[in-house]
Amino acid sequence: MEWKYFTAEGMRDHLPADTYARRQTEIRLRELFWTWGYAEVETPEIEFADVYLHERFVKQEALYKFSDPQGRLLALRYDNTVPLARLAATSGRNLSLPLRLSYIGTMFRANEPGGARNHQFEQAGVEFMGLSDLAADGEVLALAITTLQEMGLRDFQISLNQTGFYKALVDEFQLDENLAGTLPKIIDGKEFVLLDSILSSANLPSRLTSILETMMETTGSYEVLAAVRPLTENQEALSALADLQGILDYLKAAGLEEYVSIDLGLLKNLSYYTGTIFRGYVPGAGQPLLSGGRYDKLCAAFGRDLPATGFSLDLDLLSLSLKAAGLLPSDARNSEVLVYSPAQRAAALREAARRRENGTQVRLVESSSDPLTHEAEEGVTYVYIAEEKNI
Amino acid sequence: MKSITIALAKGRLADKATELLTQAGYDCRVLQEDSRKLIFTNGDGSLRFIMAKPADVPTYVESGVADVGVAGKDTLLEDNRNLFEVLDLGFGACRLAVCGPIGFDLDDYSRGKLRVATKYPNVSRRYFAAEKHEAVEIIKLNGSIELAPLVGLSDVIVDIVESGRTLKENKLDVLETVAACSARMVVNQASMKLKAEEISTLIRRLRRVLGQDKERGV
Repeated sequence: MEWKYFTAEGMRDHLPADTYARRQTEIRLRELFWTWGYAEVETPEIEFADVYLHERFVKQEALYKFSDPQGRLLALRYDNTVPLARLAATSGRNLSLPLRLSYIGTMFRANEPGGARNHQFEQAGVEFMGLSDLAADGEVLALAITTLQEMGLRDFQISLNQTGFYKALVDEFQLDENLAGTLPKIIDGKEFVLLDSILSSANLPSRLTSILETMMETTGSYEVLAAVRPLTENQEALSALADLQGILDYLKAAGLEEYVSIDLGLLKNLSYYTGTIFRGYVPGAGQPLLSGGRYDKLCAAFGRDLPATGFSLDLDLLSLSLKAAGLLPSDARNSEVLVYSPAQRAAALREAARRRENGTQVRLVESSSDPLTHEAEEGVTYVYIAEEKNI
Repeated sequence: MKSITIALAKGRLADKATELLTQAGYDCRVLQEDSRKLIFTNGDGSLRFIMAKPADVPTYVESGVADVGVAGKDTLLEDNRNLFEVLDLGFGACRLAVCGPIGFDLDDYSRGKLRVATKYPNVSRRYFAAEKHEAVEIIKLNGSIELAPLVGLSDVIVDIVESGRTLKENKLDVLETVAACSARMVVNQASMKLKAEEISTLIRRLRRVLGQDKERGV
């Protein structure tokens, strides 16, 4: 096989219309993040693999790895939150707190399940570091919702949870490590079938069973909190519910509560998230295009104890959903073709420069045949220069 | 009312699923027509069906082109997709098992590296890694898996066992059960949120037909 004809596994080319739409989206995101006070930063595309591997933030097989001339293991950027935690603890030490940071960049992930998934994709996101207050979680979530709104999307839903609720159950009912480790995947995957068989074989108290089932089945707003509160007297669990109430209140104040539903079954990466966790779903994307939450232990792993919360947005999935909604920015605007004969070149070049200054796209065609015989392209304005005195 | 797209595996699984949906009060008459069409919409437009190969159902659902799918647990285990697995539909019951010559001792490691013939390479690799801490040699086959140990292509097989008759007639035996399987209903993660009302109604109605509502208290 001659591989020269192909892009590598999980990689692809972006043609002009696609690239234009992506760059326009980036411009709008950059502007939006700036108006909210999230300063853009850049971290390298190549990091020491230790950045991702030392606390097992990422499975090693998911990293694109190679080594530097000294034999040290390097990795392509897998996400931007981990490098930003490194930045906050090292090069960004003297920036004033709290830190509001944003990024837009390319990520690389190998060995993702599902063959059709891109291995290289673009993400944009924000991190709010140095404040453990609920107002920080509220702000990040409000910005996430505003971001999707700014893109023109309306029909989207954010699922919200507080991981402390499940962790409190594990403590209260003293679930063994094995069960405590497998339950989140089952609850999160809404695997009712498996849950039933585990619940009956593990012989758990019926109160726990009914809480777990409620977590999987109930979504909604304040009424979910009201329904779950009577099921527990555990202080940690109640405080997690109070956090959710606080965030709903924040979003209500922002007029954004309609986009959020509480989902106590949302339990992903529990070793990473330490409080709020959320995922955003949009028609046309199939998978969550937005994910975020609070991760108070990450910065400490790099030597600086900073509470932090943030979100990331998958721009490839965003493109898919914008396309499905007919909202993709189009590059077919102010486009002209200027056809001229060789004798008129100087005049044509002057005219093209004048039009480009006004923001019009001008493509030049030098043609010694009669310019009026030039075949027209649909949706494009044609300008013919026949004689210099006519301009 | 948003329409739900359901991916069905052509054949017995689709027939059983149609029967269940009809009992649950959904109009599925459109599926009775003898047709080679791949996409069907039912009378009131509440359901759209897409007919796929059994092994492809999880792919359609994960990507979101189908909201819901009916697939065998064996397929789901092999594919390991990001899906919600919400219902055991009961039919298509069988088990995934390690089978081999009668009396074969899986725990006798003097045999060297174990050769496993299977249609389920991922399930097999995971099972032996998790249960035996053993890296086995996988031989991917597409059918008549039982043949492999008989002709010496492999030591054992990992395959679906229903009645066990094929095994018996070929002097093979179930050595260990990997997983109990049956048809499952899976749901796309985004659809679960974005079509919450329609999909939870579907789940609730199917549970009632399956008699699973009482024990769950829904």
